[in-house]
Amino acid sequence: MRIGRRRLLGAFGIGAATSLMAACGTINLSSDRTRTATGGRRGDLIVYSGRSESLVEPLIDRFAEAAGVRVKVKYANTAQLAATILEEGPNSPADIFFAQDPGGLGSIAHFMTPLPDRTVNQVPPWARSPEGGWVGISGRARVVAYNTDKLTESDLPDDIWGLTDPIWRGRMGWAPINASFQTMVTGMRSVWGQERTREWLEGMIANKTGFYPKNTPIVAAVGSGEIELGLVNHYYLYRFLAEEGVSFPVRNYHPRAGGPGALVMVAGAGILDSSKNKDNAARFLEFMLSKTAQRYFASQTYEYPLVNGVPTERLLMPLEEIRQPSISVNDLADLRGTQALLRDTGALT
Amino acid sequence: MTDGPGSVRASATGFAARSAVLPVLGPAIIWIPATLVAAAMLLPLAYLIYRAAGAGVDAWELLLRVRSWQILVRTLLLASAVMIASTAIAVPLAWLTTRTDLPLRRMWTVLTALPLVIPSYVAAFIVVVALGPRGMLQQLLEAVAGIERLPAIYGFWGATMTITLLSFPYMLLPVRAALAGMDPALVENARSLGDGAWTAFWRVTFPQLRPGIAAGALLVTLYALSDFGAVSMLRYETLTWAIFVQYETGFDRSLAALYSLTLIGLAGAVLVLEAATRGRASYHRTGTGATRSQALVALGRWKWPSLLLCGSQTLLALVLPFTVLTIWLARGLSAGASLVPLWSSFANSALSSGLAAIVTTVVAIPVAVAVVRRRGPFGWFLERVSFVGFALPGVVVALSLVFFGANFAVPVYQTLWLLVFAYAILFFPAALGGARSALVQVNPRLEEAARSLGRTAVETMATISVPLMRNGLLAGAALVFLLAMKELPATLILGPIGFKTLATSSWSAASEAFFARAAAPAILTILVSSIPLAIMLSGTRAAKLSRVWRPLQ
Amino acid sequence: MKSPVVECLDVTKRFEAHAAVDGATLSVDSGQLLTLLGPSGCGKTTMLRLIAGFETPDAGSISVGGVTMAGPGVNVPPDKRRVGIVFQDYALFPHLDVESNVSYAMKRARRRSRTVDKLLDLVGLGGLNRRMPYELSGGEQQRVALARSLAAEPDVVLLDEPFSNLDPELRALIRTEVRQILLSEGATAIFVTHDLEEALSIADKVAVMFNGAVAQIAEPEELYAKPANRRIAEWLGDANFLPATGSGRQVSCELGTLEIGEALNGPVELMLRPEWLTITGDPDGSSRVVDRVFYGHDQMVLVRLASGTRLRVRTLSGERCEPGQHVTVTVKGRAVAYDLDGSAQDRNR
Repeated sequence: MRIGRRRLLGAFGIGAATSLMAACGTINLSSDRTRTATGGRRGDLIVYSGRSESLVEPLIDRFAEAAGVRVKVKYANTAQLAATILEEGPNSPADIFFAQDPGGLGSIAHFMTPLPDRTVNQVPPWARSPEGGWVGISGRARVVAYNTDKLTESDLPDDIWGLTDPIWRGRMGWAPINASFQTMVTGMRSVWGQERTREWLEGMIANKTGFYPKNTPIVAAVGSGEIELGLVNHYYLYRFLAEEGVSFPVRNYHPRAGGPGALVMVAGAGILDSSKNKDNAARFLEFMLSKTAQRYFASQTYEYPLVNGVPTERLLMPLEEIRQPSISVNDLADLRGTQALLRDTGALT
Repeated sequence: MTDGPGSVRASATGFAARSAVLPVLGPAIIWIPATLVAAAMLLPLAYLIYRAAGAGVDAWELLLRVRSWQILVRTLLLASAVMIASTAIAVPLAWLTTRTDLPLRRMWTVLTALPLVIPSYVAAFIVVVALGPRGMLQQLLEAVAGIERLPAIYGFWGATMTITLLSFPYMLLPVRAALAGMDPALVENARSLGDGAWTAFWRVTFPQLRPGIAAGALLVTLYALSDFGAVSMLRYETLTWAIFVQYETGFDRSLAALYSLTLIGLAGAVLVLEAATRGRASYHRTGTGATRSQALVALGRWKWPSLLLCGSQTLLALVLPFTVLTIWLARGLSAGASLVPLWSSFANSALSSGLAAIVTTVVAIPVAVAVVRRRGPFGWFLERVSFVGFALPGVVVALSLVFFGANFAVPVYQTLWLLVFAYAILFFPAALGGARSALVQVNPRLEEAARSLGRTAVETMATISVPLMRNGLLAGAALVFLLAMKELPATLILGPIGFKTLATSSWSAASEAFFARAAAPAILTILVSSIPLAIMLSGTRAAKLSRVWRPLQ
Repeated sequence: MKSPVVECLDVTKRFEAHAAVDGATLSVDSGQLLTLLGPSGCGKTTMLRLIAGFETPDAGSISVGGVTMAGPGVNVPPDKRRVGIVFQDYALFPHLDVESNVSYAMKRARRRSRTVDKLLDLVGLGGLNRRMPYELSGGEQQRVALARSLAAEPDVVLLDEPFSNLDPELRALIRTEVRQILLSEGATAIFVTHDLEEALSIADKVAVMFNGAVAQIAEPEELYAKPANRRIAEWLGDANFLPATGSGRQVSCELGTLEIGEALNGPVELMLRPEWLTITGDPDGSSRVVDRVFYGHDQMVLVRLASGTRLRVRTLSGERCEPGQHVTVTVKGRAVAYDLDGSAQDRNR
């Protein structure tokens, strides 16, 4: 037995060593080091992507091939990448920051380089930074995701103010730490004013709205019937539909009366001031705003294209039919004020 | 220490006692690396203090809110509950799998410890999916008994249960080691003096197990303090949650630093408490493997309840996650979802985790020598400080290394080496535990003999100490390997650009609700990290791995 | 006169407040076997470790082969000292077989031609090259340890309680063997032991240690016959003490007037080994037999003198005596006399 185990251990050791060597071969440690340290040489581009690898990798590959640029991507969560860029400061190796939400972009605005007008003007004004530091790449709508076994659309209030009605007590979920949610509340403060927003938050808390760490578990919880509705972004539903089939009992509701609950936001990108590959970075943004890329977002990630002439996926409610509140991008910038309010009301730690 | 004739082996009764090995192993090759390790361990702390120093009045006000105290209390409650629950599970399981005639004992020995390989974020998600108010279990019950809703799994109890199931092996292993190493004569003596089995356990066995339990409690508690995946999914707000919220929303690094320092303060208190619990008593044989085989306790009519305990634990902590992952995989595949080729993720995981295991283990050797052979205040300090990384959430350690790497160590920034360095900081206690308990068993006379035979300190280490520490070192390396395999935040933030591992692939898919795609790398992560663990655990002699987290000296 | 191989001068070693070795001085000549004898805790093992270089003296100096190894500003590491050591538990490398253990030091041996086989033959273990340490008996392990230390061709071999782990029946046999091996090698050696018989039978010279200092260093016969003070006399075997008055080289006591080795005047204490005394049956004798312990070859007779002083007398077993019998006690050897405070001959202090 003893010897047998020793042999096993030995085999494991050999196996580990072999796989290490194999991996070393495929990765080539030293050249990686010099490249990242100097921020890359011509023909390179380094992207920090808060957008998930499973969503954007095929598109980035297409750009790399078309432009002949060697693209390296660091995928992580948007907020943590923003924190990483803050810690890296001017030494950041990144050229592009591709973020899930405007909040992440806003937090590192002082590290961004202004984009040329012809780039930012391709998208509507609500979908870009007024200072030109970043540009929206795709649109994402706030929705109420509801369980179709328990509710029909007509059961739902005209706008999300109606969710403070005690009849919804214990039937809802939200994700107060989620950046998209906070952006929505920022919009709410702009449309409804501080006091009414506070009342709404207090009403939601009084209704025992369950807090979730992010959108995915909310949609899953709505699907299982654990809760009946949740405040999320629109596109998560389509992932569930893809995996679980159309019988998945959740659908999106864009509040028919509009208001902050019908906000459409963007995922966007900008170029870092410290970038040493600004030309390639500009080409990257151009590509992301090209018809090819915009069609990809429309068809593959079920997001809203932002460039004229690219149709919205037919499953989605067209952008024109969503009664978006009129909020300027600048009004969405005050995340700190929103967080203070969320903390005050107890929605946020 | 007198031994029977002809038994150099049996004489290895623990050589922690002060000996003059400092000159024998050479001061420079020990103290220089040991000091460097201590410095590395303190890097995250230095970063946090630097960031906290920049905290404005508002950050301090936020820290000192009533709310923060509530979070602190909640954190303490969770950590204590997990610690108590882990003890309640780990001690009986350790006893059943080392001292009784439990059927399939060897299998249970491996299975009960395997939950170690399951990442917390995977487990927590699965707990909700499976045991949530309308989860899989409820659906099953609805079909059978018409139950429409289960009580919410969220909050304190759900978090306690999940973290306990994931972390109790950290207690199981040292308690098992203590049981296996305990001199059976002690119990026999007590029994012969007229104590009943139960009395004998409390009067003799339990005090002997106390250091093992304390060591396990330390690790379990630190795990509960630093875990984020489970508390976020199960919606129980703790300090790690508060830290995460700052990074996620406020980008307020100084408040995050203040919360992190609070967490370190808690961890420090736990370390001191553990030292105090152990007291000054010396436990002789805990340092060795059993030198004579022990008679197994016949379970008799307790056999079935015992099997039930092992079985239900395995069901919840192992079978359940694995089943859910497999269902996802199958469902996604049948719906036509494509599997991203996993080879390069696998190779990267194996490479980074393998390097982490090797580097951490090698670095642990001089520290182990400093701690074991020269137990001064510095050794004590070294051993405690090695827990800093383990007690912090991975994201905090990662960002501290981003700060130091990008500003002061540009050549290694965003290379594999900095990632391996981060793993070493995060998982150092695992490697040190293995090295330490292995070195305790190496007779310092062997090292002295080698020196007298003309070998230098380095040659002595290479030809005598390290070969004899092999099992402990391998066990520590196996643990570092599996911890690194499932590590996520540091891998994402510090990995070389474009570096995908099994864990990041799984996370990337799961965060966008592509569960089928997430399932395959998660299953692979679990399988790959299980292999070394299972090999180590299936040993005939009370599991070498069990030695890894033996009580601190 | 041979030059000393090992010379220790006024060596002191403290562990915290306690001085384990306190001003010890000794020297060993080339080819000599010296025994360090003393009760446990007297500092003899520490002395050995100081010579080997495992401990650093706080004061004094140690030289080996004429080279200062430790002293003010000097501390040669153990691997450069040419000092071999055999530990109490032998400390064979458990992961190496006999041959590898013995050849561990060979790389620096002066005479390369010397093979492991020769060494193993020398210690009587020829052919056991491939055995692992745990497959050997205690005596065999002991001899491997000896061969291993000789393989390095050290200037001196140190043996720390080398026979204490052996069965008593084996002990006498093996220590004779070890002595033969060391003699045939012309090796210089220092043994540490607390066993009197062992010390006296194996050594060319014995150094007695008390409280960290060398109390006396002498050949075994001389040590036994002329212990330097009362404590050594007691430690080295049975001893009777009798008050006496000295005048020149003669002392008078209850047993009459006796010759002593040197001139002493005034009240002294006489030390008489039991075998230096004889008893003869004498109905008029003032002494009486109190008790008798029979050992086979000899017997110990306890006699009470007229003054009440009790003496132990060793006689051959053939000489019959019964308790109560009147006897006369006579001295056949040369008595040793001490000043009453015992300090006169305690010159090492």
